[in-house]
Amino acid sequence: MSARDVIFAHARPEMNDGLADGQWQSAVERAARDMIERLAADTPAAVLRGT
Amino acid sequence: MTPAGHSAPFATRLAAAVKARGTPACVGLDPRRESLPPAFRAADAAADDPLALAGIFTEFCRGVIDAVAPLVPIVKPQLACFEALGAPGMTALADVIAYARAKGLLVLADGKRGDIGSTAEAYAAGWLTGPWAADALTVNPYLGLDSIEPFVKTAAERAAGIFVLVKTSNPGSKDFQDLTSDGRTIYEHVAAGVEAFAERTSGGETYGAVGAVVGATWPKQLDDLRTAMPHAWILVPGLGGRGAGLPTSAEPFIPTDLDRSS
Repeated sequence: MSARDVIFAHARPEMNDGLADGQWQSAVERAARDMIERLAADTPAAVLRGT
Repeated sequence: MTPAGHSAPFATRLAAAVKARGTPACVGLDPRRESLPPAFRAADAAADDPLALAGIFTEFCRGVIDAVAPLVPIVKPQLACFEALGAPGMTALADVIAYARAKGLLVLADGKRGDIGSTAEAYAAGWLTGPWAADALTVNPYLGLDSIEPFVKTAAERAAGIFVLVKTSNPGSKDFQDLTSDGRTIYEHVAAGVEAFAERTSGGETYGAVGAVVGATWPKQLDDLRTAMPHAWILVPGLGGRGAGLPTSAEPFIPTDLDRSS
């Protein structure tokens, strides 16, 4: 999930699973959370969670 | 309080926002008519109506901001997506920037501006003050250090920031940026300039008003550049994507692209 693609998360099945068309904002939120999780897993960004 | 209404330097505000959200992630705001959610189907009919499409972009971006404001510290509108709609697009962009800031987000205007003298001053005034005032702006250094100076001056005066293109993520970045002069690559020369500007504007703090853009598609260079610019925030497009490795430094950065599947 690219940072540029977060806003279009409604088009990604893994982000819109179980959501209706009108719930595109929930897909955006899922995508943002996914990006944050990946960042924390793969980079030193995880240390920020302790601050 | 500065004329732009900030009480603290951009680097300080960015660090505080990153700590508050617990992540340095950045969400791009690059609206494209053909990719909007089905809820915005009216956009198809508005393809030839910039005013209507600008209104739809505004509504969509506001919705995105509502969804991500509690999660990330900063958003990055791509100016071209709005400029393409002419005057209505610029009105939409002003609304989106103001709305994001009202929601507590920092705003990085991605315009990659660059020019000489008074024109650079006008670019800096246009994007770091006034109705389109963002917290920071991306800057193209191709015209030289004197072309960056007006942006640095305005950023420092307005407690704003700039991010200078140092080593970009696209494959073609090697065409010019990797060429060598006086024993160093062009991007290393740019990085040296960025570090000087960043240190000069740091006011004795860790980071200054001038940051860098370094693509994570070049992990070795990213590591080296992190070391070479200790006073600069680094915006990292392509982090984790396109076969890139990851920076080993624990210093701060703002990833803008985290696609491990591409």
